[in-house]
Order: sequence, then C-alpha cells, then structure tokens
Amino acid sequence: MNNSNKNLKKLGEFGYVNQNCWLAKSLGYPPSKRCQYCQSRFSECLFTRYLIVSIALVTIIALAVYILEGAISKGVVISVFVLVIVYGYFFDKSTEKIIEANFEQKKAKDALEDLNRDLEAKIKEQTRHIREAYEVEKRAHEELEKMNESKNQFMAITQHHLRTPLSSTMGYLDLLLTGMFGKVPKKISEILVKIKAATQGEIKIVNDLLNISAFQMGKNVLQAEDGVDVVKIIKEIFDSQAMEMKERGLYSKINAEGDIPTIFADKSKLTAALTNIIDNAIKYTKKGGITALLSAEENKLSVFIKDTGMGISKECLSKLFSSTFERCSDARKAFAVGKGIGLYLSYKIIELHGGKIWAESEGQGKGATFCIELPIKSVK
Amino acid sequence: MTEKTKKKILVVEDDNDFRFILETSFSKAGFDVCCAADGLEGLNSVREEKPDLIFLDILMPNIDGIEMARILKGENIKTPIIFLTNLSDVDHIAKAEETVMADYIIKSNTPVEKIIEMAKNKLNIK
Repeated sequence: MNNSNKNLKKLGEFGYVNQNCWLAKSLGYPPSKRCQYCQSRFSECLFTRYLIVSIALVTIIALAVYILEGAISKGVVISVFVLVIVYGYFFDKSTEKIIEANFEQKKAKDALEDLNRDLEAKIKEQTRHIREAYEVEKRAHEELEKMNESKNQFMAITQHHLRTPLSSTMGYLDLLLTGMFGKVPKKISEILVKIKAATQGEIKIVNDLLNISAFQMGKNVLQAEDGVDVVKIIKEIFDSQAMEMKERGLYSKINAEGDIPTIFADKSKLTAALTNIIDNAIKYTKKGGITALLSAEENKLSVFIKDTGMGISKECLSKLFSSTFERCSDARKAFAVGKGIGLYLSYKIIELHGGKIWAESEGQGKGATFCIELPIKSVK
Repeated sequence: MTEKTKKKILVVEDDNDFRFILETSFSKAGFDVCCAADGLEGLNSVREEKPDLIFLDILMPNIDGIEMARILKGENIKTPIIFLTNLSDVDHIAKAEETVMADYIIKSNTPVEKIIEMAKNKLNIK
C-alpha cells in the first residue's frame, strides 16, 4: 500500500475513512456506517438527513427558546453538540468519496496486478505444456515423415522391380511378333499373342495395385491435362477387346449425343477406370453387348456404359465400389476368381477427378448401367 | 531416312534387356542408335555422339536420369529428353519435370511401337 493510502482503515465491510481525520475519529467513522432502515450509507440516507435536519431545527428552536429565556450558555452547548453531529455526517462526504475511490482504485489495481501475476504464471505454465506437446508432436511428425519417406522409397523400388521384367517381356514379345528375329511360325505366333495378352493382364494388375496403394497412402496420383478425348478412349478399349467380343458374339456400340468435348483429366488413369468398367460389362454379359452413351451439358460429361448382362441385385449395388474389395455373391457365382479391386479403383479415379459414379440395374438378368459424370473443365 | 538425314537416338538404360529391345527396335525403324548403361556413360555419349534425342531411364547407378538431365541443362545442352521409367509415382515424375521440360514413358505400359512413334513425333519424322 503506498503513502496516500496507508492511513485508510477498513470499516467493517462497509468502506473506508481517513483515520487522521479528528472528526471522523471522534465520531467513530460514522460516514461509512449504514442506515439500519434503508441499508444505504448514512451520508447518503435521506432518512438520516431528514432526521439530522429535524434535530438541527429542534436544536435551533431549543437555542432560540433558551436565548429567549436567558439561558444562553446551556443553549450554546447543546447547539454546538448537535451541530457537530450534523456536520459529522456531511463534513467530508466528498473527501470520503475520493479516499474511497482512490482506495477502490488501488484495490482494483492490486487485484489486477495479482490477476496479471496469476495469469502470467498460468500462461508460462501453459506455454511450457504447449512447447512440450509441440516437441512431442514434432518428433512424432518427423518419425512419420521418415516412415512415409521409407514407404515411398519402398513403393518406388517395388514398382521398379515389378515392372522391369514385365517391360522386357513385352518388349521381347513385340520384337518376336514383328519378325525381328526371323519369321515366326503361325502356331508359335498365336502362342506369343496369348503370352502377350497374359503379360498385359499382369501389367494391369500391377498398375491397379500400385494405384490402390497410392490412393491409400493419400497421394495425389493424378497427372491431368487438357484435351482428353473420352470417346476415343472408349473406342480404344472396345478395340482392345474386339477379339474376345467377337469370339463370344457380343456387340459394342458408341452413341454420342451431339459434339462431345474433350475434357481435363488424367488420360491414363481415366482409361484404367473406364477399362475396368467396360471389362466388367463384357465379363458379365453372355448375350447381347455393350453400349456406351455419351452426352455433354455445361461443365458435365455423362457416360453410361450399358450392358445386357446378368444384372446386379439391389443388395450388391450398394457394395459395388467398396474399399474392402468385396465381391457380391452373384459375381462370385459367375466367376469364382476376381480381385474385386477394379470397381473400387474406378470409383476412386472418378472421385479424384471431381466426378461421380454409380450403377443402376433393374435386377438379376436385366443388365446393368454404369453411370459416370465427369467435369469437362478443371473443378479446382 | 537416308544415311545423311538419319537421326541419332541415345538410349541411356541400365537394364540390358530393355536397352537391347530399344536398340534393336530403333535400328529397325531407321534410326542411328547409341547406348549407355548409366548416367555417367550417358553424359559422355551425349558430349561425343551429339544425339538428336535422348531416351533416359530414371533409376540408374552412378548418376541417375534426373541428375544427368540436370547436368545437361547446366551445360546448356538442349537435346530433347524422353524419360523412360517404371516409376509412375507422381513425385518422381514431378521431380523429373522440374529438372527439365521432358516427356516421360512408363516402360511397362508403353508398347515398343508407341515408343518409336513418340521418337518420330519428337523429331518431326513422318
């Protein structure tokens, strides 16, 4: 407490007065006491004021009476006593208020300082906690980054090791089939074509697995470019399956409504997505064929791959694009072996392009339609 | 292509089989072909042979493809490059593209005739 406030004394719970004030001392600090009727300070209590004014009036009247009766000294003594009491209530109303205000200010300041000190300590403590947590987090993050880096390295090496022998096999098959090492007998040529198809299948599996693994690592795997021609992609997929479709007596049709614009997409990924859907349609269609319907409006390209195959039950429709690679019972019955990753991959690729994919079917035996919507321009 | 106008292709590839396949295919397609088995050999070949086009593998011993492209860029050698890789990882491709404006081919996904077609397009040969 500083000098200006050290003479202040607390008056119960009511307030403070200056102890050095002789009048306040003599009156036992009356200005800060409370009125028993209205609970306001005496100095502010109207009741008290009226009472005091009344006493003063009575005193003056008494004094006048004493003067008139000739007992002046008695009257003076009583009057002075009463006036002192009256003054006592009003004498330093303003002083008291200033002192109280100062003291309140000081008290508030002290409280604020205490609060500040507390807060500072708390902030220091919290900062220490945060710093510690940050350090732990940072170490964990570094660990994760390291792990992620190792995983990426591993993926890169795996890709390389899986693909290198396949690219050589494909290259040699191409050289053999083009007669680079001399004329190939027809029968051997047919076998080489089959080996090539099997190798291509193997490459597709490797690519699918690598793509899925990249998706699951949350990597952005799209290398999008302008001018991707979806009609051409579908045509190339049909062409690549032409031999099998012909053998099985299936037709393939492309119906494009009006001009179909090229789109902004990752051509190879989109090809993989559409290949999976068309391959599936061919796989599960015994009679009839596959029709691709395309239409464009504003920034949306719609592609419908419609088959006349075995259809999809309602229960299976909801599981088609599952990330757990579930195959539904109908599909398992038709083809015991299947990875179940193709449609999930297609779904992820279309989703990464900002598009939508879903399937519709009126039920078993009634064919199915895979519907794809893709943005024509970049959505980013 | 006549002997005079024959374009020269450098194949920098550490895999013996794939190098042989490309060498044979490019020769058959009428190109002059030279080969190198790693980035270091590749750099020497570029300086000596002055090829018109480089097919450059990425993962190789001594100096890898990206590093080799960076060195060539530093020497202001502007021979067009087509990266040959079996890495479809976007990070690697982005790194390659950062180094030098180049096309890239994923070896296992690209048939040899397509690689030859790319070479012809790059060298404006019909």
